[in-house]
Amino acid sequence: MFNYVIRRIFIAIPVLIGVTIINFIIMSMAPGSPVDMLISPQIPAEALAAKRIELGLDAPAYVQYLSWFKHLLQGDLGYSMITYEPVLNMILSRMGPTLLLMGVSLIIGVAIAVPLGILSARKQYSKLDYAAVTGSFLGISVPNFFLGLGLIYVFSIWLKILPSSGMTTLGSEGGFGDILLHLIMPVIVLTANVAGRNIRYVRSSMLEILEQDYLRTARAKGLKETLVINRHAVRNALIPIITVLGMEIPILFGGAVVIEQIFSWPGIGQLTMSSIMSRDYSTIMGLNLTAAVIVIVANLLTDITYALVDPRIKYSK
Amino acid sequence: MKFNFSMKKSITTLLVAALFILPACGNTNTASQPSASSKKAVNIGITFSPSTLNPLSPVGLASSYVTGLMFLPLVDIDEDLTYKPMLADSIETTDNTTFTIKLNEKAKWTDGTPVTSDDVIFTLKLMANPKVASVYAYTFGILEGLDDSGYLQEGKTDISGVKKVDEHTLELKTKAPTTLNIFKDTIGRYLLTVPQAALKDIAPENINKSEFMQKPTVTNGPFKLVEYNRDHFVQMDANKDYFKGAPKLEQLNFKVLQGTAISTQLQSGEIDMNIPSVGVIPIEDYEKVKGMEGISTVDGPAIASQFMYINEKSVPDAKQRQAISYALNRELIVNKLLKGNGEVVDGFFTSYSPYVDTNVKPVAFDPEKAKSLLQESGWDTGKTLNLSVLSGDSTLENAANIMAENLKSVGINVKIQMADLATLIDKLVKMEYDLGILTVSLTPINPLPDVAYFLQEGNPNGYHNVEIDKLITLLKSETDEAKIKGYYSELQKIVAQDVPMPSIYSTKALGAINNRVTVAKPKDFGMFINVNEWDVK
Repeated sequence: MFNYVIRRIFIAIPVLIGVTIINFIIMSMAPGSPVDMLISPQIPAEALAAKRIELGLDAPAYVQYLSWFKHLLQGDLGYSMITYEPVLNMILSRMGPTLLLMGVSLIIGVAIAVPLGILSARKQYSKLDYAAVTGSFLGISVPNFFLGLGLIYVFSIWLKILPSSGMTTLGSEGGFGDILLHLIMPVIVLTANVAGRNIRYVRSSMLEILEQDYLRTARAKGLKETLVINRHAVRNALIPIITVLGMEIPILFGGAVVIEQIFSWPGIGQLTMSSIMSRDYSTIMGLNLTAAVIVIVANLLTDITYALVDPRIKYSK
Repeated sequence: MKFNFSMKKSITTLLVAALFILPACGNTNTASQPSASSKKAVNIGITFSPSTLNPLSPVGLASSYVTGLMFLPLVDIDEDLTYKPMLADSIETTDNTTFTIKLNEKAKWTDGTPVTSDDVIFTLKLMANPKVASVYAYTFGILEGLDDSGYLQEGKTDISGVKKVDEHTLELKTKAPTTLNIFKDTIGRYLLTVPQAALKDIAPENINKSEFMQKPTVTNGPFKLVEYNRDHFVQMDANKDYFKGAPKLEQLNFKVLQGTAISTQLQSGEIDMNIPSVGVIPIEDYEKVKGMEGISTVDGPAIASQFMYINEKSVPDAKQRQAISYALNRELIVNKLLKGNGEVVDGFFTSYSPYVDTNVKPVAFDPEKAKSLLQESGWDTGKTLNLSVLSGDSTLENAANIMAENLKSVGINVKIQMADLATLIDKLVKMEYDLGILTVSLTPINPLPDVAYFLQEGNPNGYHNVEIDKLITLLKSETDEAKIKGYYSELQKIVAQDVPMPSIYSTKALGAINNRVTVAKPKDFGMFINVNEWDVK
């Protein structure tokens, strides 16, 4: 197992380097540059040239990449080409809010999806089953921005009980309660999504297990129904769910871009959008690398958990 | 196995317990919150993020406003286009080449030391250093001793046109005679003095990346920075020792929002006001905002215009460009699309500009004339022109559709291509376009740099006219306001004839403010001059 993890980490390194190279190429091919974005075009050519030199954009693309890579090896992600803030600081300061939003949504989403999916499978074609399946379809198919705007209308404009944007109230001391209030609406939107997707996975996985012969055997040997379900069915049904949850993390990162924009959540999504729009090369590179690391780590964790949960899987040698 | 299972169970129990306990802790916090948070604060909604707070090189209007609250300019322009003293008490000249700047003697930094002539000179030298690469350096190119880009020649340490008279007085010399208005509009507005004591030990090439530029610790304006999160908010506290009088507010915040969120948050009370051209309310929301209870609105002047770039390589004949101008139904766009919240513009000046010549009437909508002009010029009706339009502005997108239809009906095939700002600018600069639409706001007092850029060689239209070049040369050194007006008037006549880049419409940005805020008024020029007197009921 240990060897397996080490090997996976070593495989991850060339993958990450490849991702940064591809990202750099695509980024360099996109029209526009951070200098174009700086000011209206009447700024003289000499001034633009000075700015290019200052930002290191006068060198050929591969030299720019190598210099970025050299700094990366020293743990330096460089400076934003627009704000001159260290990229690492920018990412770290926005990572917290995004993780908070995603973490809470994932936990609540799963806490809803798992029991509901199981119940729904056990009572197939019952009213509860139909309600759960319909609900899950709604959760998947109602667009995030639509649900978000609807919630804002009801809770912020009409009832005036929830703040429509941000993570804390500007001018207040903030605090846990304040953050909690700001969390409610974005979490509802993301949870609807997570729960919607996973109810269906849990349900179908459970339905499949319920057909298995070993359940009949368990019942035949006289086990109580709750034991049959909880010990034999549910635990096996949840194994494939681990994979799905591993995939949830990158999806949530993507969904966060939209949600963060609607609710002005101070996370990584907004930073990504504005860096791309302003062609802030160094920040885009940093964000891309972060996203790649997260996906790879999420995958690795999924595989490890898989092995821990399912004794049939072994990653030795 | 058995052991394992029970351990998992207890961990789960613990986690579940934690989930219940944590929010409970939070609730006790909430209850005590309100008393701690009743600060006197005003929240301002903006739709453009302040991309940097670097006073040497603020990028965009949002940056300039926020930075200007910490580092005062020498003077600031008010909505009536007069200059109000800020850091300087006065800027005077007798011969239009030597300008005497008298700093406010009470002006001081937040560390208690006075703001002196040395600070101003130190800042000028930083701005003139190519290693700092300030995007505003070129506005200082009028000073003696600097090249036209505003840079000091390598090897030189002093700017020959800058002289310290005493601790609070300076004399600045310009290369050519300059009107007092232009001097105030360039050096007066864009020189945001920084503290020499705090920055003198940082090498110029490192200054943009220095911690000071991320979070300035020594400032001189009415508000101090608390927290800055580029895409979301800027939080500022009052500078109680502000030399023009301590602000009555305790806090001033800027919230970066989507356009549609401005009206939402005005209604929910999460923001108190907007800045008309920087916290843009979509035209679709105007009616709603005007009808809101407790909110007052201000119809702003027409400042920014939509211009159509025409690549002279694709449309070489002036007659064809005139035809484009005749074909556009601008009245329809202003009346129906903008619902009257704008004006038809033709040429570079809107009604807000002191140099607009009202005798030069906008070209009337005349499709028949357009057709005949096209026929005369031998326009190839099989040709299709690409119209590049900035994406994201719904009004502009709709206007572009109307324009494309207008052009099609007279026989010019147009295909609309949407592009984000970076792509659009890149296309325009490289001249890889046929027609393009871009929003341009000309400085009302000093439109010369923009006009010269759009009409002289090297512009993204490929347009060239000797008469225009002559006028621009004359304007560069003229100091008599009447003559300047005359030259601009002639220029407008030529532009109306040649149509190098027709303008289409100009929107009147709406300002909105909650009635709980007193003294303040949402406006694009001079909004923050009296910010220390703002208060909340």
